[in-house]
Amino acid sequence: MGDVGGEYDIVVIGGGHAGIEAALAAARMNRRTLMITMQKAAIGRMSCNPAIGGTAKGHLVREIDAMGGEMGKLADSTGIQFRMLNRSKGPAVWSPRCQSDREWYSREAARVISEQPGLDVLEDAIRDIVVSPDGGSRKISAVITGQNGTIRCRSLVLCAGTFLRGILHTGESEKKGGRFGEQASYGITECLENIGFSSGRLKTGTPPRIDIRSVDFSKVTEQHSDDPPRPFSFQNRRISNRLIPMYLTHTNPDTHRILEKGFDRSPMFTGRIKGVGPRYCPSIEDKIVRFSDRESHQIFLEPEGYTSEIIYVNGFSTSLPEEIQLEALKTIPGLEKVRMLRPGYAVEYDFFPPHQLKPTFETKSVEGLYFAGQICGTSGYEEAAAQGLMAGINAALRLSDGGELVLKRSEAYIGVLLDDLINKSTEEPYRMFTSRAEYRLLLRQDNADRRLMEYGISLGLIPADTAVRFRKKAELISAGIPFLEKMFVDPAEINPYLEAKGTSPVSQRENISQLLRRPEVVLGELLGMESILRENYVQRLYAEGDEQIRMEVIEQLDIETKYKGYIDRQIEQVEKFVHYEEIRIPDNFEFASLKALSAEGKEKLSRVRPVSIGQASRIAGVTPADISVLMIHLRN
Amino acid sequence: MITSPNDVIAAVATPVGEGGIAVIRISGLNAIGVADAVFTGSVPLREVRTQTAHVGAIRTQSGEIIDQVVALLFREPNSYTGENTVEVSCHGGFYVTRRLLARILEAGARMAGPGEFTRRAFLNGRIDLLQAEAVADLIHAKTELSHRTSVQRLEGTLSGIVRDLRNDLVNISSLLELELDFSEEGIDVADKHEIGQKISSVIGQLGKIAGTYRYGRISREGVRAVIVGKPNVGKSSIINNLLNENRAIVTDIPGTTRDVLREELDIEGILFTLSDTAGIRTGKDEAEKEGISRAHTEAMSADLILYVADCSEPVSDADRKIFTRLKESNSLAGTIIVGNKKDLLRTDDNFLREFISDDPNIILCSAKTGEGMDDLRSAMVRIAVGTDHHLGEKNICITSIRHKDAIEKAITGLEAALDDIRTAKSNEFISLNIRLAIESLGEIIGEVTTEDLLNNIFSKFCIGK
Repeated sequence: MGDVGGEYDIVVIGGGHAGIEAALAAARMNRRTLMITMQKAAIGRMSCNPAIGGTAKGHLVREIDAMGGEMGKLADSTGIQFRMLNRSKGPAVWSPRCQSDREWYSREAARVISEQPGLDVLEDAIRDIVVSPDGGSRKISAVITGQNGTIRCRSLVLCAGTFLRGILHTGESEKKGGRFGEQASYGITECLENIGFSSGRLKTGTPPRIDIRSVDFSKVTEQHSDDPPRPFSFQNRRISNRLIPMYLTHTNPDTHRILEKGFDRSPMFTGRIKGVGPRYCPSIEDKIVRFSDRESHQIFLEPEGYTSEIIYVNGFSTSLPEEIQLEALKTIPGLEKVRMLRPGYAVEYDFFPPHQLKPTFETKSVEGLYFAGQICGTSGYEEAAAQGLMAGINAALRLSDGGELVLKRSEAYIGVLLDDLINKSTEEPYRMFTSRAEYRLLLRQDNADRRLMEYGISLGLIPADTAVRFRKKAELISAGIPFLEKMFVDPAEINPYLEAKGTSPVSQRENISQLLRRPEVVLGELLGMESILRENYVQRLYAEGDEQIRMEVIEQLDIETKYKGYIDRQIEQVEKFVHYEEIRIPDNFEFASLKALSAEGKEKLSRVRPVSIGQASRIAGVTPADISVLMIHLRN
Repeated sequence: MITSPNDVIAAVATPVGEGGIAVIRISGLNAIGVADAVFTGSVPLREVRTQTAHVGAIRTQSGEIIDQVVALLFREPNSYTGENTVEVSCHGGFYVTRRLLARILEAGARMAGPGEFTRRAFLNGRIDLLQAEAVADLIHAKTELSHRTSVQRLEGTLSGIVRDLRNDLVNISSLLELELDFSEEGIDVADKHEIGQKISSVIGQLGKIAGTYRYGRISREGVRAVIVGKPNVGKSSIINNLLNENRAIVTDIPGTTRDVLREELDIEGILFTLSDTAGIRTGKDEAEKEGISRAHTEAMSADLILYVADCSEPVSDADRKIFTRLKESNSLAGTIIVGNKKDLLRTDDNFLREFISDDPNIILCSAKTGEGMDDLRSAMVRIAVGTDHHLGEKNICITSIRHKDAIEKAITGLEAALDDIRTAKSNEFISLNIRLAIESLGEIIGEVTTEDLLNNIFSKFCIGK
């Protein structure tokens, strides 16, 4: 093909979960956007587990949705099993998770991309990235493709996933590739290294896939969907998909004995894989070595779709030789006659340590160049999508008025993610956990819209009707809290309810907020009481909110009242946090000149260049003594 | 103030006043050059090895000897401040040390600001924050006891204990987090009963440390004692008797009010600052009123109240009334009723029976003959400091209100966590309260809770996928 070239505001490289969000956000913010992918059919492909959400990851999906991203809607459209994890715990750690139909998810993503006005898709590979000097700095100017020549752009968002110089390992065999059956991408790493970026190697793994027809389902435990399932998206009221079960089984000492036979040929143990794998997502061989006292590990058998013949063996990630994998699988209850369709493998790939990024995901050294997703050292679709969304938003904002949107740790898991990425050294693929969020009780999946939807609205990423509904809901919540604090009920009216709930009756008129502190008391049930129903506020709630809004408002009021003490404590912590965020460090501060800093502190501070004392204190390797030194100098 | 971190500073490092030997410390990049400019020994200091001592003289610019001295040389980073340092031991005395210092300043050093050596030591990573505070205490230490607690802190004993307790909490927290973040992965559920017991144990130990604060503060600042009583009961002779044996060496107390006489005593290694409210007379009727008012003001902040009465006289209503009011104005203070003039008393019974009080601490003594005065001394130590003031064999105590507050905040958080466990709250609530405690303890030793929890989870516990 000739030089079709062309010119775009924003070019997004990659059609994975980060690329989808980046491209859609940019196009929806009225930027002429081009997505370049090596294979159109692979848009939105789930490389590993066909599941969206899970602990902390479910929070990310809800936040992406509240900001106007696509992942929650894609999951709702194509999910075949929905569960709210941690239901036995408090609301802050409830996390939605769904199993998706793998092919359907990918098709749906490709459909949304193709129907998005202002967004073109090009099937091609990238040969080079062109950077031009711009005053004292450098800025992105074009990408050179394999078949379509040079494409000029004002911003470039690189979402190359695990494809950069990817190598797939199974036992002693290794071959180049980014994903099973797909080729790796070469040239981009070298090109970025030439520009001055540093890169590293990471690894991740995936388990074998097996034939559904070879499983003996009488020997495994069924695990069903929640009923009714709750959608991820604030824009969806219900899930109408047919739901199917997943299956639970486990390994045993025989399985472990067989796997051990292959250790001398494992690329992990023989040292052929140089990349560092995640500790929290260990391969089955890792688990056997590290937790040798455990005789059994849990295995989930997850069908990849309604009609798919493929089952994903969750919990059995491995890169041992193929014949060992098969032999070990056959010792697992239900898998005695298993047919393995594809062995598990480990993939090793290049990433760019994210301290090279600004909090907007723009690189520090090249203006207009953004990195997002697994190339920043993360793991997981949700983490990738969150970065893609923020990179896309910021790339579009930069082209309009130079503004930026950086979420704080205290307002979103997305904020925690980006702050951790730019401040902590990534030694293993980064995965989100609820324990990473110090303000966890405030950052709940149920209030993601209250925390973030105003951002989505102001960016133009939220449909008008959703915005109207959201504002109605928010207004009803703000009015509801003082109402509950002022509302009292008579013992005669409330005591039968309290006694029925097994909690002690009251002797005098009691305040509703106080009553709600009791775990047994549920706001939705109190609202049916005659004296409460007569109240103006409750009448408004029924008149102005549809059933969905009403349910959501009541849920918010219930949680905010029940956990008020804890929530207030977290708000205090946030205030302290903000205080240190506001002690600014001047742009050109010479960290190296402070003799008092530890050698490591000096190096890390110079590398990350934190903008505030708060940020400095979170950089790995910076000690509290370093912070004291900084503060003493800033005060002088 | 903009100062180069490398300029040379100097100051007299030993207390001002009389003393056989004084030390002048010179520190900074060019400290050795400054010292060589004024010091003449067998070889120039710039040519000698670190941590060596050299006899020589410091001379004026015209070559006249000011004093024969010993110069101790420390090359960076092996000095207190981490910089090149010369310590000059000279003959003590105000005049000589002042002339030597003036000569050193003339040679290029700058007068050190308060705490500047310690600040440099801290900035150069020689000591941590806790140790820096201990140094400040050490400088102000007036008695043997105080010196001991400062030295312990300097050696990091308190840091070590607090660090261990904080680690216990990080472990507990990790168990709770594991159950939250890996709930899908067949993780064994954390045993709440066991976690509760561990938390209680940490609370117990923190409580003991917090309980040493009074003792710690007393060891640092001394016991604030006040002596009161009607005129002519012998307050002054009591004070004089105590002072004869126990006058503390250092007296420069800031904030001394002119109206109140303060004396410092060293009894069994404990510093007592004794305020005497006697001698305030403004007229016959006013006298008592004014005296009582003064006494009250002093008594309000006292750790120990010595109420002196004449035990050879019948106990008056005024005695009872004044004493009762004093006790009411400061219920936290220890009190001793000192029945003076025992030498004039025929039997003890009268005074003991008549002084209506629930206070059991009555010492009968005679300042004149010295009888019973040792009993008074031991009673002062016993009542002011208590007997159970040491924390186990480690013998540590806390002297800073900042540390006491942080420990109490940690205890409050942990008690809330226990309450969460009792009321079957979910892990994230328990965890919030434990994290608050971890942060508070981190404030003492200067550690922040960032990746600690996850790292701990990964290093210790079994995670399946």
